[in-house]
Amino acid sequence: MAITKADVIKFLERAADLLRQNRDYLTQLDSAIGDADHGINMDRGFTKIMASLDSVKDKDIGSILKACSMALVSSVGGAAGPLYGTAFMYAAKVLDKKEEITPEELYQALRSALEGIQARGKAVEGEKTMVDAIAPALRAFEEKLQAGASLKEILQAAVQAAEEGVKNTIPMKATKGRASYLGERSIGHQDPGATSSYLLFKAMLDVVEEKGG
Amino acid sequence: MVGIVIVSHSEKLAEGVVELAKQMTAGKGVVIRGAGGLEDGSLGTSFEKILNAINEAYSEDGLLILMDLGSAIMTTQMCIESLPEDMRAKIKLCNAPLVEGAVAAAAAAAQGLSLDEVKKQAENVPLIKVQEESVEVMEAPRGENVASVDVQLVNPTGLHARPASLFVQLASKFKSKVMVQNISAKKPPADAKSIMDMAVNGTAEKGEWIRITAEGEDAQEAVMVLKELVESGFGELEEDEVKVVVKEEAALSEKGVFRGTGVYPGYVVAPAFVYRREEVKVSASIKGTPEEELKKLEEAIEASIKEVEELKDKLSREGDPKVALIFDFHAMVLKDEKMLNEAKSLINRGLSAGEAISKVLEEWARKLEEQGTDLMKGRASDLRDMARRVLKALEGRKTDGVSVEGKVVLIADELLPSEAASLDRNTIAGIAVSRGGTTSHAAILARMWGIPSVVGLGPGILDIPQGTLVALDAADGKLIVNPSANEIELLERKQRELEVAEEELKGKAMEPALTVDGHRVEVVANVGNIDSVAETIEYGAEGIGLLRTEFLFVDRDEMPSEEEQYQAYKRVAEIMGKRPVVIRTLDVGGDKPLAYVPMEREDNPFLGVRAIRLQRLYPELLKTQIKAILRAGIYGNLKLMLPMVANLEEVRWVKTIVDECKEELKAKGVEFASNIEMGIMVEIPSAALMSDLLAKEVDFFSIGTNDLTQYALACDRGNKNLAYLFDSMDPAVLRLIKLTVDGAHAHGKWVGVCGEMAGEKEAIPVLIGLGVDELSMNAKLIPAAKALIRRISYEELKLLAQDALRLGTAKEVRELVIKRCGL
Ligand SMILES: Nc1ncnc2c1ncn2[C@@H]1O[C@H](COP(=O)(O)OP(=O)(O)O)[C@@H](O)[C@H]1O
Ligand SMILES: [Mg+2]
Repeated sequence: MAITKADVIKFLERAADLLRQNRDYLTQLDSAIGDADHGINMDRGFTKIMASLDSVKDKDIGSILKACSMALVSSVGGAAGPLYGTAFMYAAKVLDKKEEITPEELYQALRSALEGIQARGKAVEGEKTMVDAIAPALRAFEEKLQAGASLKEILQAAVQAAEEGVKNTIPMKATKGRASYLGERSIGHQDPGATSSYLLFKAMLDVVEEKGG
Repeated sequence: MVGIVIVSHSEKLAEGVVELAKQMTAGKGVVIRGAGGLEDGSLGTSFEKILNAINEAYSEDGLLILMDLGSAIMTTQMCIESLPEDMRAKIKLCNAPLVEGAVAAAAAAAQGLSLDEVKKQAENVPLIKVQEESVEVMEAPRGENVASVDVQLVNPTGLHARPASLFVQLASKFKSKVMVQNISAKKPPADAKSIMDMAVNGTAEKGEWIRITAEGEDAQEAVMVLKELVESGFGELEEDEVKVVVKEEAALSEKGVFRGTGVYPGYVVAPAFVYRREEVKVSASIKGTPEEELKKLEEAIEASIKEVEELKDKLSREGDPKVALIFDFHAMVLKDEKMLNEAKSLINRGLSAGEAISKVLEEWARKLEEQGTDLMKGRASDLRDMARRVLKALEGRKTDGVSVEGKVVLIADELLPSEAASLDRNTIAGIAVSRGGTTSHAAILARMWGIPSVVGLGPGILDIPQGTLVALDAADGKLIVNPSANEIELLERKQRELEVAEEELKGKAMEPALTVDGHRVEVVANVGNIDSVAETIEYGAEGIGLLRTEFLFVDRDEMPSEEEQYQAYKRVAEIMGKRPVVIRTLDVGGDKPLAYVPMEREDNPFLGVRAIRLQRLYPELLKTQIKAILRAGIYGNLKLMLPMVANLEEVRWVKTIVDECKEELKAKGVEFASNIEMGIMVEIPSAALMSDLLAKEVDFFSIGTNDLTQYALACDRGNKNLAYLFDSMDPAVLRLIKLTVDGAHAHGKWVGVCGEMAGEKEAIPVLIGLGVDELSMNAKLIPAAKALIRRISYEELKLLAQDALRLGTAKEVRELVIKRCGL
């Protein structure tokens, strides 16, 4: 099943909703090992995306994502700004001029997004960052994709893997980002950035499920 | 002129730094812009603000950007990536500290320096470090009944752990009040009779000076005795250490698999026994008068001391003297008057006995964790352990340990000393601990008892249901919950392989070690006390290549008599039977003075009066020892070895002494072995250089590679800053070894190596290739060393050694060995 431009817009709206609903939760997670602003940052970023959608929503998917990237870097403020900003930018490159995309293309875009995050933040798995949610989600995505599963099944697996990835950040010691200043004391807390990444996957799934497969 | 941009999360900070930097530009028109905070003034980094600042400050001469924390760097990078190519080429990000860097960059830019130069100036800016708040050094007091002395720590451990306990024990014998202050590190003074005060404030490292001050009727004597204790190095002897390599910590990754750090290898599949510590509560409700509470507390402490001492005895009886030592510390703390006084004053302020004691001990535990040295930090868990014990005693209960049935993998957050000591090691197949730390009690015990163990597995393991089947792979540092049949099979196979390999190693260790082409190398043990003589045979030692005799001489106030020494050497001779035993005569010097031998303070004890040089000054010392060895010689195969020989004359002198000894024994009609061989340690480069002449005078050489390296490279191996220099595989050292071997073999004499190098995997092939006939090492390393020797070829090693001698650095030698021998 193809993913249309309308689906992408719905995804952004759904993500903005979810991030708003989880704003305090994310901030509370960030207060344990950071500076208590991740929820505020993400909400501000996606509110800005919503505001800037009007002017680009008739353009191709690549351009929309590029606009999201700009909105995020200019409004988020924390590390998540340039990181998600780069992610959207890299995804936009893959989806340049596209009006509709296949699950395979979505996978390529997400891979590219992860590459962007890692190029920017230099984090690998195990450092207690968003990478720990995204990387396993993409592995699950790829596996289902190759097994010929439906987009819904693919995203269900990805969301589940992201959720486990989030849980797995708890015993980790942060070695990247602000939390790394806490050293050993970062152990025992869930990473806020990984959690917001999970929510983004969840938003994709919600849109596909609502669409009915 | 180069422009400057300051990126910060805070607008105020950015503006402030800009203001400071501008002061340095003397109106030269350097453009400096700040980009701080978000549009709405809140904290964060804003893409647009940074981009604007860059555009404003940019000039054809270039632009330097300084940033504060993480996202500032990432956002700035994004801004730059959005700029046209030609601009990007002229913008540099700078790693300098924000304030100092900005000031230095502004000054450099104002001088019209290039972009690269401005960046360099900023990044190399000197940081003025604030000196830690200094503590007043206590005045050396004067007057009657007061005494004070400054003394330097000479033993490797410094004033921690066992030395600190000894110090407190000795200080407590005096009536005077005794204080200690580390004047090198400017620490606050500590009460020398309080183990806890000493543990927090009184610690000192090797080389630091402490001031001991006493006040009271026996002040003079107290100060002198304590000074001697410190100067004697607390009787610490150097032991060959077996290094344990530990991997970095890791955490949960795969599903149902926990990752940590293995501290003792092995593979175990068994049910989990999750140990949960019983909560001990402080009872605050039923409270008596302060007097009653104090009495209760004193009784509880009394009872706890008794428990601890019983435990200690039990452990010593069961053959765990090292574990028993842990409880020595417990007993001392429980007897600490300072602790009791602190508790007393809390009780007087209305606290119950239980509240008071837990508060005091918790406070001390926290202090240890915060201020203690790494060595003492681990002791915080001991204090908490004690608090639990006293609280239980207050309720009239005894502290019982962990009791387990059947073979299990013990899972716990950490093992408190008393829990660890109560474990029945026959029922514990493996240990999995959630907290980190390869120096924790759990890790230490695991190694001592040889139980496969992993630490640092994370708190998740505490949620594993009781009795769940788990697999512990301590070689790889992981714990698998509900392992699959395949995994179990794999681990069991690995365990069998390990057992077989160990059995083979040990079994074969008894046989001589021949290279594949039949060249025999004698493998013998280094020993530092009588207790460990017998076990060397179990490990396959073909003899003792170095019996250090210092254990007979240190930690006492009179010289051991000939009779005492004779009995000791006789025992060794009897245990070892026909196997050769090389006895080294006393090897001490100004760094390890003896109470009964006057020694002058020397600036440079390692180049001063030590070993054979000391014996020249006090020939009685040497004569007594030689006579004891000659007499014991009739019970076995003893050889005599002289430490630290520098020239021929010294050897000739000892020979006359040996002759004198024989004459005297003969005159007395005492039996002795007349044909005892005599050799020397080659550890001074001059001895290696003169080995062809020395070989004519003696029966053998033993190369002490640790000192030889130290003297050849003029490098104290304890000096952390010189770690890059000290390597016995340095080709310079190898060349000295080669000279020594050639000198000896030319006269038909044999050469051994008894330094740490002899047991090192990478060194063994080179030593054999150089022609060394005997390797003497820590007994535990013997099985592996023999196994190695059996799979290499002497002919090839000779070539290897030739090639190694031509290399330039120790690193190249090591690489060559690894490659050629497939290590
Ligand atoms: N170098 C990095 N690589 C990947 N992710 C990172 C990095 N630094 C931080 N993060 C993610 O960003 C999250 C914090 O975001 P946020 O609170 O917006 O930033 P800040 O830490 O600057 O306040 C972290 O939980 C972590 O997941
Ligand atoms: Mg934050």
